[in-house]
Amino acid sequence: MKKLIFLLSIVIVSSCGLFNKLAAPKHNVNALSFAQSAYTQDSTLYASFKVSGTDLSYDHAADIYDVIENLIQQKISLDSTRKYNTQILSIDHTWLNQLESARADHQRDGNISVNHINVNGALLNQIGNIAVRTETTYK
Amino acid sequence: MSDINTIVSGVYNIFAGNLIASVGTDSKELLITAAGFAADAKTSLLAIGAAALASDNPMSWSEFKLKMIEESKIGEAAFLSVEQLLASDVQSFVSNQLASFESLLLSELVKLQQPTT
Repeated sequence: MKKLIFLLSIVIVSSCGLFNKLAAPKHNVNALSFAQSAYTQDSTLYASFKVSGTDLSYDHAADIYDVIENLIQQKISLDSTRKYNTQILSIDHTWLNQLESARADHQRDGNISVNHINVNGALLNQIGNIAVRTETTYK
Repeated sequence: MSDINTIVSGVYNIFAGNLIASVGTDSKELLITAAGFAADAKTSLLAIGAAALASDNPMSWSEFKLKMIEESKIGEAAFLSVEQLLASDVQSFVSNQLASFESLLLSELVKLQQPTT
């Protein structure tokens, strides 16, 4: 019996070491909430442009870009404190970079073209969905 | 009182059953996630293509290249997400199994400690 316990102990200890290499943060309600809020704002921003199609000026959108940026920054701060955060931080930064690229397009062009709106909206929707899905699947 | 073979067989049977059930559930979740990511990527690529080939105010070549680079970075993020899904599943499965091992083992140890009459 002692041998069995000894062997099981070895299995348990080596399992923990092995799976640390393939690790994910634990589910975090606040991180999920930040991701969902930013994703919703992304979608609302670009959906409103598609519907109205008239007022595409940067001034009309600047505040919403700020809100989304703030939410992603808060998520990055939170994720920086989580264990095994390499992948989720990389996803966060891809999202932030994408947002800044969309904002730069908008600022540069003033009244951005509908083509650009469709592209930036689709890319932001894609990375936002990835972030939300990732947070949802953490156990 | 259980002998060691019975204890190990019991633990193994529970482990094997949980493993098969868990792999089945996780595989379905992974397929749904991958299909969702692929659909989003198709939407983005269609939008980039439409913008580049539009007759009215088309994207410039440099803008097209920039958006394709951004799309590839988002694709990388999708792979990281899938990796995290697998990692989270494995972690959860292992910690559940360790708890189950401990519980089974402790209960058998308690039985073994009890004096036979």
